[in-house]
Amino acid sequence: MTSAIFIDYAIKGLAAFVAWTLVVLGWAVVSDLTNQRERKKSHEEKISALRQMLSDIEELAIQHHTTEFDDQRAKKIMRKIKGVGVECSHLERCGAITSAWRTENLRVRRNITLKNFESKRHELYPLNDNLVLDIEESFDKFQTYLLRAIESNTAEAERLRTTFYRILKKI
Amino acid sequence: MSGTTIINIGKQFSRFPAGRYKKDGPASGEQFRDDVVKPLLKNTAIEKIIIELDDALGYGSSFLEEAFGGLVRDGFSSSQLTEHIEFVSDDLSLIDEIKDYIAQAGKKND
Repeated sequence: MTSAIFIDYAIKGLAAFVAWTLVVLGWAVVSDLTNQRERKKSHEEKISALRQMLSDIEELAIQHHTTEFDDQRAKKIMRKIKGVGVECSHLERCGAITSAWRTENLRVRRNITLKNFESKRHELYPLNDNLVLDIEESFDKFQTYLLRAIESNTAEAERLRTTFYRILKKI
Repeated sequence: MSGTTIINIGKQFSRFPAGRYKKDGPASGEQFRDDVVKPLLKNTAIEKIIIELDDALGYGSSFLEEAFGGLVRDGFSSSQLTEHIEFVSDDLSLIDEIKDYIAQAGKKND
């Protein structure tokens, strides 16, 4: 009789334990997936802001090479390129983009500032000159790279296994 | 005797390092190379030079190429520079670009 009561309590206790474990685990999974969604959304917003920054730099860069030298504009271009580099480095460390952005940013900086960036030797180039076309091409490639980064960020399917692994790491 | 020295370009050289040659302005790549880096590389007491890039407000590629690629053209080997100089920056593409100029100048010298 006593052992039957004990077994009955044990089964009830086990059932309660399993139920509570499932509730806690379910909450942890939902919470983790929400965090992941928020993180992806934040990355996507940052990448979109970067794409806007690049458009601004492209406009300034073409103005620089096709109109009279403006020291403030030249400095603004250098600062903005630095800003893109720092932001992309941050996104790379967060895992939002791959290290391939470095080649794109390097190409952009090089095409804009390697030639014709000194006030004393500044020349005006026509819009169809290779120097201008190379700048436009480097921006197009960088923009495409970032667009693909947004796509892969959005398309990346979250596996339950990954979610559990992350939750276990937290514990 | 061996030691490490730190150069903060933005604080010790210019907040806007720009231009390739000295005739281009007061903070050119040539000036940085000749007046700042070369004397340190020639100083046998200094084993490691750490160059901090972040306090400058931006860099032109012509500055970077002349400052660092120019060191190779002036007789320092690319391996010597890689071994003795360490670059620090929040912009990782900047470090890649400098290393690329050193490597390219090294290939031309070979």
